[in-house]
Amino acid sequence: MTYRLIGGEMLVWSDLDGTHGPGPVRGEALAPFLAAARGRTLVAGPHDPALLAGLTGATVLVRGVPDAERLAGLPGLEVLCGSVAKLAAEEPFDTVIALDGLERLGTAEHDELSWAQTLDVLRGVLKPDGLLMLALENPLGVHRLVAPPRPPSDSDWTPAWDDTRPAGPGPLTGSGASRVYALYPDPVRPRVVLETTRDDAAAEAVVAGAFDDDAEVLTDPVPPALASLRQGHVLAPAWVVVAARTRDALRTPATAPGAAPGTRTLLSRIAGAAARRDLPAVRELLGSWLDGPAAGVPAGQVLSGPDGTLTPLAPAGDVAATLRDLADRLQRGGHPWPGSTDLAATLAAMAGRELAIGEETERRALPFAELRAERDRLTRELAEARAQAAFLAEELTAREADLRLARRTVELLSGTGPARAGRAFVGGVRAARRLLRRP
Amino acid sequence: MHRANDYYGHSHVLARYCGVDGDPPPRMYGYLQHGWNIGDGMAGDHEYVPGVPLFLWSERTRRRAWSLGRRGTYVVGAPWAYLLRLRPEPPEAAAAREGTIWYPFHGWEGQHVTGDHGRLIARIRATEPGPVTVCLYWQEFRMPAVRRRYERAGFRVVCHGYRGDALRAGDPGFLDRQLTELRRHRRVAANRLSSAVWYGILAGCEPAVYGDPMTLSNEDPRHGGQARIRRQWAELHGEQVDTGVAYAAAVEELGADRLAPAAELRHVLRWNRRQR
Repeated sequence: MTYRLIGGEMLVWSDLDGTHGPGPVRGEALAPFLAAARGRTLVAGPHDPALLAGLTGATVLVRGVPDAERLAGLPGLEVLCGSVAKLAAEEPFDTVIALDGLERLGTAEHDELSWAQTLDVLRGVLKPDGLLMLALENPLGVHRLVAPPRPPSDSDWTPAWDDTRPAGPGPLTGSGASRVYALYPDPVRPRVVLETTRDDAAAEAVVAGAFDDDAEVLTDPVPPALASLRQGHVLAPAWVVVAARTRDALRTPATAPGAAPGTRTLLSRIAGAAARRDLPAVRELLGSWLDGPAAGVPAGQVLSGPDGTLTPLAPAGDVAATLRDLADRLQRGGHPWPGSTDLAATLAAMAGRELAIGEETERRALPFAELRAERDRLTRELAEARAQAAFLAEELTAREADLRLARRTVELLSGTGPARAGRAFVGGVRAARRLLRRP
Repeated sequence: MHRANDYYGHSHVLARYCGVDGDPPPRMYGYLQHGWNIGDGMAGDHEYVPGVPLFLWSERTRRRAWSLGRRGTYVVGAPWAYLLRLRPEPPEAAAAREGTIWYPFHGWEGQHVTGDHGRLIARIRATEPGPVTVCLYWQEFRMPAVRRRYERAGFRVVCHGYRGDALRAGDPGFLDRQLTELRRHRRVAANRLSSAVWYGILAGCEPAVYGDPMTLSNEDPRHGGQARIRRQWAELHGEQVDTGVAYAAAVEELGADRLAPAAELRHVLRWNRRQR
């Protein structure tokens, strides 16, 4: 197959190879959206070729010639290369998919369209009863809130904020039928796709697991992500809006895992009880965890039903490791236990168990905020250790003085007449006893 | 960490509950609240060392301590509540209870109570239907004049023992004796709401708080004193008190609903062999 140049194309530019930016939008989690396409389909923007494999007969729009050449090598795709502004001349489509959003559809060769104008172009090539699937990055997404500052990439030739771009998915849902999905952990490499109505434990577990533990971040993104999940996913890194004019025309991609209404993860229940300082509840939760079939499964991977029933989502492993993991997570937030050492063993003891829990050999890389908290904690603990040493030294001095006084009293008493007489008497009794015992 | 941990034999009670041997019990890592109070749980004679945990009786005290700037606190409940777990009351014993055990308000070492013992005695006689046992603080128990006044009124006079001080540990049998006495009586009464009244309520006595609360020389007014206690626990004052309300309040104040399992207590007090 070949590709068609529609105007405004960039000759030596690739979004797909990842050298000028974050690479194409990608990941298995997006496959259900492409699978929901029907009829004549347009995929606009850089999508991972792996996602396009099943879309026979679809049209793909990219802006770089090397990308067009690469996609033209895939069977069954019609490839357009150029600016989105030139798309208006195309025949209308039944489905328009833009899972990368609208930001990488314009080219450096062309006066850029605003976000709203770009959307108008896409809507213009969509049949009246067509299906639109559009991703929208969240400018307040948790991925942005925790990201260290980065220099702009080659693709940020006009990085200014576009006022026509909505801040949330609301304005895109329009008057027809629609569904909104949240993407985690970032807009380009989502691992988890969930409807924004989901706030159950299965959703919590997958969102918490979506973030890399070793990513370089300013602060741990998981707690704000989980808090946002209960507020309609307001901090989701991106959303995908699936919209059609009528309910019949709407297709809803299936997402995993299935909903478990009314549940929370065991981790969230324990952390909540710990934050409320409800120690009896913490003890009960720890007991039901360690005494049941969920023992050895990380607390974030255990569903806790409204009646307290626990359902493990993962196979059981080392109990000590899961306690260390729980202790680490509780220590990131507020917790009621005094001191910071040995929390994992304290948790086991709260469930009535004596477990010797070794130190974790390899600690995770700490986000900036935690490094700072760690520094403050160590500074405070050093000051406390010094104060304790001073207190103990003072106590020791006082006890030594007491001991000296006691010795002097003993010496004085042993030097007195009655003491000498007493000793002489005892000596005499002993001698008499020895004498009597002789055969 | 501090001698006050051994007052009233508190550390002995916790060691028994924890199954930890040793006389004296091993040193606990932290300060244990040793009496009911309306401040941050610590007594005036504790010198506070930063970073050392405070083991408090109740969640209310913990919240108050936090608001007063105390961190590193942990609610374990009162040693008294642990003693009650160690010595559950035999079912037939409750029926044999009779009379009232009365705790006239006392000062601590270095404080002097002023008030009219004669009027208090008359009030007790007028109020209490059955035999009365008066429990005196060890200081007053040793003062023959005070002791005789109560004895002459026809009351049995007892003392639970020596509390303890900065140099000497308290009498390890103190709380055991107190529990035995309380369980002999149907009612517990005092002229001030105090640890003894809470202990009595938790041990199954009907409480009463009445009579001249007496004044204490150099009393610490920081936390609102008697006036505040009367306002906050108004329902516990009077000659007849709703026992259900009183019991719920005692459970809360003594943390009896949040006692730690022995393994946890051993752990936080650092009484496990490898922690010592």
